[in-house]
Order: sequence, then C-alpha cells, then structure tokens
Amino acid sequence: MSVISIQDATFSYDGKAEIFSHLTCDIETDQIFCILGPNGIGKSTLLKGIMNLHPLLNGRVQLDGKDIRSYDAKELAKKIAYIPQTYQLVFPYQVLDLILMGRTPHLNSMNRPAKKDYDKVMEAVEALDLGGVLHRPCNQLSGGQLQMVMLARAVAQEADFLLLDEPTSHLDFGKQMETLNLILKMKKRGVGILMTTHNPDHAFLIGDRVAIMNQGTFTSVGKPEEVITEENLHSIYHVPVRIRGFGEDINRKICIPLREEGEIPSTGIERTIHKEKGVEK
Amino acid sequence: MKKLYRTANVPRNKGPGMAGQIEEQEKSFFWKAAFIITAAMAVTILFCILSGRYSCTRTEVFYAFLHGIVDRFFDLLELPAKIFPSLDYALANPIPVTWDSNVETVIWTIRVPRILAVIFIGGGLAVSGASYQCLFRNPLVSESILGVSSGASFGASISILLTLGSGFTTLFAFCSGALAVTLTYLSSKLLRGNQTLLLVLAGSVVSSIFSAGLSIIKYIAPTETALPEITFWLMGSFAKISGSSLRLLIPLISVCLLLLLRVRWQMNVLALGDDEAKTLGVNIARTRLLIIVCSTLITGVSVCVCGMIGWIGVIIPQITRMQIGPNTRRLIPCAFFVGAVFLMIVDVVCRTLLVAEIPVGIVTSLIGAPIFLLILKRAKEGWL
Repeated sequence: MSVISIQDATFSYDGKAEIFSHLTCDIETDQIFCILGPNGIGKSTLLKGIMNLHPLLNGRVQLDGKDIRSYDAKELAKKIAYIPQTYQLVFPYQVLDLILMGRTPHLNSMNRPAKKDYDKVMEAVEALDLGGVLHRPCNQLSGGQLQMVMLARAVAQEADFLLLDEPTSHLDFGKQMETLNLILKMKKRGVGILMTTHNPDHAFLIGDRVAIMNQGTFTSVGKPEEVITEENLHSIYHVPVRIRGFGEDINRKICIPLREEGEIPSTGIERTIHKEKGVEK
Repeated sequence: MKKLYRTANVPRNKGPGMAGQIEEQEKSFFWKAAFIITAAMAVTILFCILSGRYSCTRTEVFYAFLHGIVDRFFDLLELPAKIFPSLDYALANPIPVTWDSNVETVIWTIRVPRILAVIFIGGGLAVSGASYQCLFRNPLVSESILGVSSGASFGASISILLTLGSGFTTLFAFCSGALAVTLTYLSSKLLRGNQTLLLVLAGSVVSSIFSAGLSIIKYIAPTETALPEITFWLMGSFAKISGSSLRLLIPLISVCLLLLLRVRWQMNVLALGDDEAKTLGVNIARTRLLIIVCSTLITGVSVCVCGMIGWIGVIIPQITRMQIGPNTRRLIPCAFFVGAVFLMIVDVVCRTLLVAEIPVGIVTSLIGAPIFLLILKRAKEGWL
C-alpha cells in the first residue's frame, strides 16, 4: 500500500500572502479522499503542489517515504495521475491519440506504443464507453465528453494514485454518476483517489474520508458523516443546509440546501442550526 | 490525396479484438502513407532530374541517369572483388552510352547533389517548423516567424563579412539563431495576454531587430565582394551547392532529424501544456532543449547553405496536419517528405522558368504567403 503524506505544507504565489499553510494529512491507496471548500481557497493549488507543479514554500509532500521532488517525471507519472480542471487543447488530437498519451510514462525507449499499450487504452475506452468517438478530433467533443476522455487517459496511465480536480464539473446528471461509479471501481482496483468537489453529496456517495478546506488549512478531516455537518457546510458556503439520513433502503445522508424565501425561519440561520442540533440530541 | 486520417473506420465490435483492430489500422495507414510518399518522391525526383536548361533530350538524360545508378549499384556488387583480389570479376553496364559525357557531368555533379540538398533542406525546415509549433503550442509559428531565420542570417553574414569560412558560418548562424528564439520566447513570456498571438508578435519584433543588424552589415560590407555575396545568398539559392556543403549539410540535418524523430511522441505531450506534460512523465527541460537545439541547428545549417527560405516551416506542417491529423508520430515523418517534394518542385520552377535562375526564397514567399492566408481562413473551422 502506498501513501502520499502531506507534511506541514505551506504555499504562496508571491512569498507573502499564504494560500494555505501548515497543512498535514495522509492519503492512502484503497481510499477516496474528498476535499470540500469554497471557491478560490486553494484546492487546485494543493493538488498542483502535490504534483510538484508549484513548489511549496514550506513543508513537503512524501510518496512512500520519499520526497516528491526527488522523483523524476517519469517515475512520478507511474505513481500519480492528475486531471486538471481545465485544459487548453491547441491541436485537435484524435480521442484515441489523446488517451494513448496516458501511456507516455510506460513507453519503451523508442517511445513507440506497443500491443500492451493499445490493450490498456482499449480497456479504458470500454470502461468509459468511448468506442463511438474514438476517431473524432477532440475539439468536436462536448465539455463532458472531453472530461470522460481525460478520465480514460488517467485510467490508461495505471498510476497508484489519481488526483482529480472537480471531476464532475461540466457533466450532466448521468455522467456525474458514471464518473463517481468509475472512481469507486478504481478504488476497488486499489487506486488511491484524491478529489476536490463542490458537491457534498458526492462526498457522502463515495468518500471514505473528507477534508474541509477553509481559511488556509484543513479545518476538519474525517469520515464524511463526522465532517459534513450543517455547521461546517454553513461555515464554508454561508448558506443554510439541512442534512438528513435515508431509511433502510438507501443507507446514506444527503444535503438539502434551503431556499432563502419561505424555507429559512425568520429567527436567523445560526439559531436554526442550534435548534437542529437540539432536535438531533 | 484523400484524407487518410478521417476515413479510418470506427471499430464496431468490442472486446480484446479492438486493440488488434487499432493496430491493423495503424499498419494500414503506414503502408498507405509509405506508398503515397514513395510514389510522390520517385516521380518528383525523376521530374527534377529530367528538367533543366542544359540542352539535351529527356531520353538522353533518363538513360544517363539510369546508367549512373546501375554503375553505382554494380560498384557495390563488385566490392567483394575489390577486397579479395582473387575473386576477379567485373560487371558490365548493360546500358549503352549514347550521350555526350557532359550530360553525365550535369546530372551527377550538378543536378543530383542539388536535389539531395533540396530534399534535406525542404524536409528539414518542415520538420523544424512542426517541432517549433508543438514546442510553443502554437500552430502559427515557424523558424522565420520566431526570428530564427533572421537571427541565423545575421550570424552567417557576420561570418561572410569577416571571411571566416563555412564552418564558422554554420556556428555563427546556429548561435545567433538560438539567441533569436530565446529572445522571442522570453519577451513573449514577459508580456501578458494571448500567448499564441504574443509569440508571433514577439517573433516579428526580434526578427526586425536582427534584420536591422543584417542591414548594418550590408551597409558596411565592401560593395565589390561581400555585399553581393551576402545579398544573393540571402535570397536563397541552391545554385552553389557543392560536394563540401553537402558533406556538412546531410550528416548534420540527419542527426537532428533522427533526434527529433525519437522525441516526437513527447512533442505531442508537450503540446498539451507544461503541467500536463510533466504529470504525464515528460522531462520538460531536457525535451525542450533537445527540440530547440535540433530545430535551430537545422534552420542554421540551411540558412548557411542556401540563405533564407521562408514559409516552408509554417505551411508544410499545416498542410500535412490537415491531411493526417496533428499526431506528431505521423506528422513529423510525413512533413519531412511533403516539405521535400514541395521544395523540389519550387526549385525546378526556379531554375527552369526563366533563362536566369530565380532565387528560391522569392518563390517560396510568393507561394507561401497566400497559402498561409488560406490556412488562417480555415483556422476558424477548427483545425488550429
């Protein structure tokens, strides 16, 4: 089992204003780790810091006890795959070629894809049902389809860890679930997943551990049921939220955001939450 | 030429056979492309050898060329006899000599070396253009747009002015070309905005600085010797190709081409952007350096041998990409041959159209500029 351990990580773009600081946590394989946090809090920056794309100001990231900076690009790519939130494709590569690029760290010294590489690509293509668009130039795809192609590329990369920056943005309702199911499947294969999301329900759906990122650090880390509370969500998003559990048929919690008109009692948000707690007790 | 890239069939059945099918398609693409390229190269080379202003009939030239090839082939077969004198045998050329000995001289000491130079320079410039385009993630750049050509011409003309000899000319051309591309890249990074456009603009700025430098050199050059030499050389011509320049040009360009071929997969990944390339396991610094050095060296060498030949580096990769798609695994080798065929045809036009030879750089600009406009028009349709 592999571990990515983030130790006292501090990051700053200009050396003065710290985006996040003293961040410590472990991410293990066989686990889905979700990061929730408001826009612009540094979730993407953290992922980039883990991938050594932005050097940390302080602290370090270790992979299996070795500093991430001591890995060369090829070794690291075999261990960690990363899907950024946005991509800017200059050349309209065919979908097949784009997925094949995920095999780059596994190519032999002649840089020529072999039978094995094509097999892995086809496995990924089938897992994401992309057979129909295999030969389409990727600039003809919709945002959601492109997201699926990127996911396929990460699957083909066969890394131990997968870092996903908001994998469900741009996706329709069905594709979101498809993506989450795929992430679960990858976890079962032993891949460790670190993903950022804006949807707390997704963390309830598939998360093993959840971290709330706010005010430049992880304010709480733990099981989804412990961490995703009405107070925590309110402190991140500044909107009133109710969390309810299902009955026996679906054993899961869900978040229900409240509408400003008619659903929030006039006594104010804070009091509402306190009342809720009282009811639960 | 049919669109090979788009007509590839989508595999219908799923399962483990699919990967095999993809490989089949790759193979069939390879053979189709190899066939078209071989045919196009053979026809063009033959056409180039047959045409020219030396007065002799085409059949004469054809037989003289065939005779020469058979001769060289037989020389190879007779090699064992030369190594082991006991195996005394000799092969007689079956083609009877019915032509003037001048015909043979024209073919083998003028036309063939010239065609070889044209192939390597046309192909080399196309490949270096395609590499720059991937490296800078910008389909509009080429060695002339990035200022490498004017940089290299500036360096080379200094060496001509100081009469330092061809070795130094190449060295100067390379160094000053590399300086130009570095300046262009750095100045585009210093500015904020659309990087695709800024790189082109920065290139034109750097290019104009080096052109000004070139003008200064022309201004102070002695009007009887260096000035005409620099002027005619800059317009681009293959008329002065000699065996010695071929011996410099072919090995240098071949080495660069082989290195670029070897990293062509990484070029694909680099074109996705630095962050993605890094997370996909590409050593960015090393690969970039390799691509810049090789592409700049190709440009430098070709500038030294035949002056500035613009536009090939931008339009040939574009045209090739339109036919076979942007994957550099296919693009780089195909662009070489498309560039070679294109420049061979241009060169034939240059040396046969008028009594006096037209500088090749002028013709490539006349053809290249309108094609570039057409490409820009098509860019809206999504190929860029």
